[in-house]
Parts: sequence; C-alpha cells; structure tokens
Amino acid sequence: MAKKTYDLLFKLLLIGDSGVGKTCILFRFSDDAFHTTFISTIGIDFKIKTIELHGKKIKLQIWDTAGQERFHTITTSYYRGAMGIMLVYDITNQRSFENIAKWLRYIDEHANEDVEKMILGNKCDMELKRVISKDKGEAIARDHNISFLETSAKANINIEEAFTQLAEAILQKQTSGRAVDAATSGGINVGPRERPALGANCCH
Amino acid sequence: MESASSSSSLDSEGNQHRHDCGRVWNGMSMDARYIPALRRLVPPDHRAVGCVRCMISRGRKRTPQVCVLVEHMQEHCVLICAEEGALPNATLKSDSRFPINVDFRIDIEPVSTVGGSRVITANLSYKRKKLIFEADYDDTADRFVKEISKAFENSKYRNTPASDYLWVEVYKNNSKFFLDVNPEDEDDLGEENKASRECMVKCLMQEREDEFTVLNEFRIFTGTWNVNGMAPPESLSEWLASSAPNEPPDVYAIGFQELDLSKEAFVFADSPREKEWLLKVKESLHPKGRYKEIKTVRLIGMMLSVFVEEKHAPFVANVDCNSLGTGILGMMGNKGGVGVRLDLHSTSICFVNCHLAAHAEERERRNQDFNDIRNKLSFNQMRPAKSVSEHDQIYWMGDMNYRLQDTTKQHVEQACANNDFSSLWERDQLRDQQAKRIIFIGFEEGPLNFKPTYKYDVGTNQWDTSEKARVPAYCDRVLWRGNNIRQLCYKSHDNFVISDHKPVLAEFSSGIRVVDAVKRKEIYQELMKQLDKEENDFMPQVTVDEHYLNFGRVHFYERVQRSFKITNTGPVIVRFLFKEQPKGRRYAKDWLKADPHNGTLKKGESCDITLEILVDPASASKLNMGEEKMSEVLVLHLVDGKDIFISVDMEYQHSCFGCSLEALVRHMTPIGLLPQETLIALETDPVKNAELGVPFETPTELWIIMDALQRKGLSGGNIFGKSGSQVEIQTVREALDTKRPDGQLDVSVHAVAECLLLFLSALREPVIPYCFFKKCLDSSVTYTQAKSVIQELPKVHRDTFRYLVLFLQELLQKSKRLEVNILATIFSAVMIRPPQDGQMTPSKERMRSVFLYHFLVNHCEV
Ligand SMILES: Nc1nc2c(ncn2[C@@H]2O[C@H](COP(=O)(O)OP(=O)(O)O)[C@@H](O)[C@H]2O)c(=O)[nH]1
Ligand SMILES: [Mg+2]
Repeated sequence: MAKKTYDLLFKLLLIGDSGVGKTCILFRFSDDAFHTTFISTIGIDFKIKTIELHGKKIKLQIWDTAGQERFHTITTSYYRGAMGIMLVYDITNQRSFENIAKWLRYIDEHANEDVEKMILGNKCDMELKRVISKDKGEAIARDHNISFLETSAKANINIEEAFTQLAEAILQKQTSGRAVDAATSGGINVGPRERPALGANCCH
Repeated sequence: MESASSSSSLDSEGNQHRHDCGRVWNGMSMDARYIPALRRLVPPDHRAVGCVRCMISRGRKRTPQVCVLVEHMQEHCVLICAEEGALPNATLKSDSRFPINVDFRIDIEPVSTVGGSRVITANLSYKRKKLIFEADYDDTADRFVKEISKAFENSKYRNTPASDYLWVEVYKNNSKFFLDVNPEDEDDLGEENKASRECMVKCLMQEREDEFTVLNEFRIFTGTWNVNGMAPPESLSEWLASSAPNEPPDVYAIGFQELDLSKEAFVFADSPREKEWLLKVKESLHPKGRYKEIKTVRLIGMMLSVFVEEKHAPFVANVDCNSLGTGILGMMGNKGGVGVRLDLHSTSICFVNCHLAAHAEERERRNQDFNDIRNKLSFNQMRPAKSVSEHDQIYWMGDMNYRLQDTTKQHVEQACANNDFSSLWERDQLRDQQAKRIIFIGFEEGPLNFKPTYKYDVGTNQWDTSEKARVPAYCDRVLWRGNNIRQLCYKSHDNFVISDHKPVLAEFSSGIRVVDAVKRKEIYQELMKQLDKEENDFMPQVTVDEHYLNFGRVHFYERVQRSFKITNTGPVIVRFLFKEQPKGRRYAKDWLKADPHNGTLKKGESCDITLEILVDPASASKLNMGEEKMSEVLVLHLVDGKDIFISVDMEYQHSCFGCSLEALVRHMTPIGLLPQETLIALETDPVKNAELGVPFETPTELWIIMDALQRKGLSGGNIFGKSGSQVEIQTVREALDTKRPDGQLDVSVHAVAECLLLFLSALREPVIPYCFFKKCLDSSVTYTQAKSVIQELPKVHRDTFRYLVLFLQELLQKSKRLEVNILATIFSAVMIRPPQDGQMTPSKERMRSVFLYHFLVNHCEV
C-alpha cells in the first residue's frame, strides 16, 4: 500500500582516497553546510536528497565509503548496487590523483558494467596549494571517457552540478535503455549512446 | 447475530437508526471476523457500528491497525486499535480515540490504485491530531468510511449540548490516550512503520494550505423559477442580468421547475422546452461577461444549469451531476431534486435545485423530500462518490413549496403593502421547520425582503383570485451552507407574468480558495527539503568507542576477549547486527565471535559487545600455515542506516596443534620454537625440509601425551568424562610447543585426555587421511575389509593408527568404566574426518564408529 513521493530512486556512491573530502561533499549536498572537523569515515554512511529533473522527482541515496585501503575488500562489495559512482581526488594531493587508476580498476572489477562514473577534483578553493592542474584532471577523465568537474565542498562550487550531472546521465541511460529495449525487440540494433560532454563546467 | 432482535425508529431527521439490544451490529460496514473481539472490547451500553482492518499513518509512523466505530447515545467515536493474537481469537486494544464532534474532521479521498489493488484513503483529524486511514477498497471499507462520514454529518445537527465524551474513557485503560501521546515516546521505526512520504506530504501540504491559497471573491448568481410549463418570455435579462452593470457574476446557477408539463416530458428524456429555455437563459446572462456552460441537468420539469465566466473555466474540475426523484414511487420525477457539483480552484461547490411536495398540508412530505435529496443525491462519477454535504459550499434553490401558516390572504396583502415582510417570516413553514432542526440544518438564508412569490394569476401581478384564494407563500427560495459566503442580494421579479410563480434570485460574494501555483511549488520544495532533512536526521546513529581491537598474541585454543561499547546517539531506536561478509561468508572468520551478535538500543542506551577469539582445531592448521589472515573487519550494520567497520587484529602463535603427521615426525625442535617460515617449509615439503634423517614412527607430541596419560593412570574411570580447564590445556600446549617435558605434566588426567582429542582433531590431515574417508566408510562392514584400508595408508598414518589402537585397547582393559562403542565413537570422530566439503550424516557417523570398533575388539593385526 505504500506510496512513494518520488518517481525514481538512484543509488550513488562516493569513493576515493581517505581525506579527499567525500564526506564533506556529501554533507554540502545534503545539508548545505561545511564543517572542517569530520572524523574520517570508518564504515559506510548514506544520506538522501530528492531532486527534480525533467519534471521527475528523483530520490538520490548517496553512499559515502571509507577510503582506507584496509577496508577495500569490504567497500568494493558495495559497488554492485550503485547506479552512479563519484570518484573523488584532492587537487592538493598528488597521491590521491595517482590512485584514480586504482579506484577505476576497483570499479571495473566490482561495479555494474553500465554504472555511470564521474571524476571530481575536490578542494578547488585551495588554489595556492594546488598540485594537480585542471588540465590533468580533464585529461584523465577524457582518457577514460568519464565526465569531470572540479569542486569545492568548502566554497560550495559545483557540488550541486556534480550530482545533477550524474543523475542526469543515469536518467538518460535509463530512458535510452528503454528505447534500446524497444528497438531490439523489433529486431533493430542500436549502437552505443554518446556520452555527455566532458568537463563542460569549470570553477574558479 | 444479535442484530436480529433490533428494532427501528426514526430520528429527528427522519433517518432510520437501529437500537440493538446487543452491542455489535453485524452490518455492512463490519468485518465479521472481529465480532468476537468486539464483544470483548465494547461494553454493553455501547455499540460497535463498524470495524475494518487498515493501515494508519501518524506522522512518520505507519502501522497495521483495526479501526472501529462505536456509538453511545447517538454519539460516535473512532477507535484505533491494535490487534493482538491471531483471528478469530484476536484481542483488540484501543491505542487512540477520535471522538466525532465539532473538533473532528474526515476527508475521504478518491479511491486510488496502488500496485494493482484499490485503496480507500481518508484523512481523520481531531483537534490538532491527524491520521491517515488506508484500507483495501471493498464494500465493507467503503461503507465503514461512509458510516464515519455520516456520523460526522449527524453530529453537526445534534440539538443536545456538546458532550464531554466521557464515555470513551473506558477504552483508555490499556494505553495512553492518543490525544496526549508525546511523539517522543513513540519509537520502533521499522521500514513499514514509517508513514509513507506521500501521506505525510499530503498532510503537511494541507496544514499549510493557507500559505499558498488566497480567498478570492467570486460573484455567484443563483436563480430559481417555477415557470408553470410556459414557453420563455422575450428576455430574461431583467432577472438574470440584474447585477451591477460592470460586475458580471463569475458563476451562474439557474434552476427551473415545471419547465415542461407535457406528457412527453414524463415519458421521453428529450424536451423541446429545455432547448428553448436554455437558449433564452444564455441570451440573457450579464452582457459584460462571456460564459461557458459547465453543466445542465434536467429531471422532467426540474432543470439546473451552471455557467462560469470563460476565464474561470480552466479552473473548474471534477464536474458531475445527478438527479433524484421523490415523486410517486420515487421515480416519476415530478418532484425531487437535481444537482451539479464542481471544484472551482480548490473549493468544492454543490448546487441543488429541487421541487418539493406541494399543498399546504403536505409539510411532512416536503420534509421527507428534502431529507431524501440531502441523503441520497450523490455524485457517483467521483471516486469515492460524494454526497451533497461533502462540499465546502452548497447553494440550494428551488420551489420548496413551504407555505405561510396560521395567516390569511388579507393579512399577507396588508403586510406586503406596509413592506412589513418580517411579520410573515414567523409564519413561514420552512423557517419554522428549520428552526426545529428538521430540515436545512446548518444552512443560512437571507432576509425575505420581497413579496411572496406564489400564487399569482397568470399574466398579472395579482395574487390568486380564484375560488381557492390561496394564501400567498414564499415557495421559491435559495439557501446556502459553507464558509466565506456573503449574500449580496435576495429578491424576486414581479415583471414576469407568464407563471403563477415569480422568479427569485440570490447573488453571493463567495470566498473561493485559489492556489498560488508559484507559492505552492515553493512550499512543496521547502517541504521536500524538510522531509529529506528529517529522513536524514532520523537515521539511526551510534558511536562505538573502539574501531580497532588488537588481541595481540593468541595461542591455540586460548580464549581471548576484548570488548567495545556501542551507544545509540541518534533520535531513534537502533537495531544492529553484524552483517555477513561479502560472498555470503559468516560475519567473521570462524575463530572470531561477537556477543551479542545483534540487538536493539533505545535512545541514549549503550551496550558492550564482546569479541572473542578462539582458535579451535578447525582453524588451527590454516593459521599455522598463514593461509588465513590474522585480521578481520566486522561490519556492524544498523538496520535502515549505516555500516560501521570494526577492525580486529591478532598474532597467532603457530603450534604443534594443527600440523601434519608428516611434518611432526620429521623434526626434533618443538614446533613453537621454529620460525613460522620453517614450519611452513616443513609442511609444504616434509621430506625435503626434514630436520631428521630417519623420521620418528609417530609424533613425539603424541608420545608425550600418551606417556602422561599412562603415568596418571588409565584406571580411574572415564578419563574423557570431563574437560580440562583453560589453564590446564594451555599448560599442556605450552609444554608440547616449547619444552618437550619427559616428566609429569602438572595437570589433571582429563586435561591431557582432552588435549589428545584436540591434537587428533587439529591434525592438518586426519589419521585416516581425507582421501580415504569414503573408502573407510565403505569398508566398515567387516574387520577384514577395514584392515585392508589401513594397509593402504601412508606409513606414518598407519603407524599412528596402530599406536592409537593399541593405546585404546589398553585403556579398555584398564578402565572397566569405559564402553568400547563409546570410545569408538569418540575417537573415530577425530581420527576419521570428512573432507572439507563432506557432509556428515548419522549413518556416516555410525559407519566410521563401526570401522574403528572392529580394531578395538579384535586382536590388532595391522
Ligand atoms: N579547503 C577544503 N577543504 C576540504 C574540502 N573538502 C574537504 N575538506 C577538508 O578535508 C578533510 C577531509 O575531508 P573528509 O570529507 O573527511 O574526507 P573523506 O575522508 O574523503 O571523507 C577535512 O578536514 C575537510 O575539512 C574542500 O572542498 N576544501
Ligand atoms: Mg569520509
């Protein structure tokens, strides 16, 4: 008998090295607030937020994971249920950027094949301490055909955009997926859909 | 059923009520399965009128409940009950009560279809308390809701003073009165107990309706005229366009009676008069307005047409109409009523046009006609069907036929000449009956500052000059019910002379609720945000005081415990459990146990969770070999919430327990003194990495155990009858792993005996190797067959087997208290173990025991 106020439920996952700002990003998005003192996540937490896209009410359930290597066997077991994954690095932290390759591998090994991905270079408010140029971030995203944004949870830059873009991509995939189903059942093959433009938005 | 003996009587409104001598009415609104439970719940002087199973949502809670409608002295109360036990023996306990009085509201929603089943939803409120009732839609549920609605309607018309509803107190004994339940006290928030957000949003939006709706003044024009079967005159403008020249009405509702007196009108649905009059009406509406006909409904002579100004048409919805005949057999339709309902913006409006029974002496019939229309006229395209009274505003017009009584024609004429109309009002039957609360309860009427509209000589403005010389009367009336309605004018028009009645009009300025779409969206989004926030805030939260527990060095069969504290720091009750590991593994490796492994914490409550490590024979070998990591991450899961990781580390001290016979017979140094790599090498290739050129026949450790047992004496009864203490077992293990004592072990014989069993069951490969397990069971039939299996064993296994059998035979000889089949069972279980994936069954257990038994009772020849 339960009725729902949302039309769709999307499960999203935040991954990336410990300390890159995943929890802050989530908190900014769900509570529109920022605290400098977050205890590092030892486990899996989630928050929900309802957004509207093309007149559809979409409930986002966003899972925040512990980044420590020690937990990777367990955290990767949560990838399976995700429809979208945000891979976060810290533009002031070289290692967190290098580890993107590792995280992408984890996604390949553990997530659904058609999961929507997005790379976020976080802490873009800290221009003075930047070690990863925006070009580098865009390049790696382009190499993997993933969309990219630089964000700041602290200065509230691109946070809302990031989630909207990811949700949008999932929504498009779902609707076009249905179109494909309909088409193939009629005996016509439809080629892979083009991805949304990369790094279209920027931050200063 | 008890209702069989019920008697009937009429109440003040002519409604039929049953007065049962019993307490439970097995009527159409009753789920009969609950009758036994209701008999126990409802005291003798109360009556259960209806009962259904439903879902009740309050705030964020949504629970299955049973809803009961009870009655006492014509007062009703809704009880929300919890069902305990299973039907038909279930017991009902009332959690909350909703007295049906002025503070009560019910709003029935259109039936919706959810997941293939139809659901009826009603919002109930009492003062500031609200709940949402949902039930599977069927006749019982439908009638039940109607019954509540009716009780509510009737409660408005009670002429007794408001009751304090003390009689519902009897239902209060078993739980708190809902009206003062503090939401803080409500815990248990399982998934299905949460009110669906849909319901909450609806409720909350309703609460804030004032913020996003404004009352806009609409001019509503109503007119009624009994036209005596005549064709329309040249124009009706004088009547219909009589409003101020620049203020066209927004809505018109025009009712006619005796529109068509022809025989055809009774027989055929079609009437040429209808078209004539309708056309004339349309021509005569206010010239400054452009009107759209919303609906016209006709029942023989009664016709009702509703028009709205075109600009309002997009805001008109859910238009429906119906008619009800009250004439001969209730069918002929020369008397009765027609109605049109609509939603204008957010206000529901019902127009009724009626023609009630004629003749001065037929007052009772008129009353009856009125109440029939009020109770039975319903708009059935609405889901659920709506009755007349279920509207925010009702405009009721028509030829009501009520007369002036106890007066004369002369007196009426006199009064009219003096403009002293008020002296006539007290003689008006309608006013009299309304004051007596028989009809038009809750309705209002403006002052009749015009002459009686009946009965005129046709073609004149003269009252009846016929022989009958009827007393003039206010037959033609307009009454209204609802809030925010102001009558602007109420009058008749003398200049129309085609009929024996004069047309009447009543114009209103009515407050219509108009939704401000922008504001509504704003509030809606704000609400979504708030609900998201609440949903996030109401997630279970806990803190744990340790995320990492290091057990340090742990030995074989040593029980080590550490604990941590988990505290519920959130706003709701927390259920926690340790979640299974990926790939369906148990929540932790076999050597780790959490106690409690699941539980519930109230707000602010904490609980200690003890983690215990015990490396038993099953895990010993894997840990010796480093095949299993000495760490674990436990996933502490909060139901409907997050997962918390608890990391556990230990350092396992490898031991002779858990080694293989092949390795044990090839070294001198106690196993515990070897570096782990050396042990792993030895185990991986015993021959190549042997410490001894010529291996022992059997492991030294086994010899030490046997020797200790011999010294302690085997004759003292059942040496396997008790287990040794933790400390004793650790003493033996320590001795075997580090010292190789040849003297007495300072422990009880039972501890040594237990160590023997532990040693055998921890062996990396059992005495009868895994690959011989099946063969062994297959050969358990005879001693000869069994012997041939032993002949095939690798030498060290064969030697160890013989060594053990000889020892067991000696044990049997010395200890008269030990039975051979018991011993066979105990030892076969540790010596003959199934391969990892092998399942044990009672028959396999019996076979392996029999296998060993042969050797214990025969002369050992292997
Ligand atoms: N300057 C700046 N600091 C941030 C930003 N996001 C997070 N931080 C800081 O980075 C640290 C780690 O953040 P946290 O969200 O706990 O990282 P997580 O381990 O990925 O969840 C905290 O001290 C935050 O205050 C950001 O956008 N700008
Ligand atoms: Mg974190």
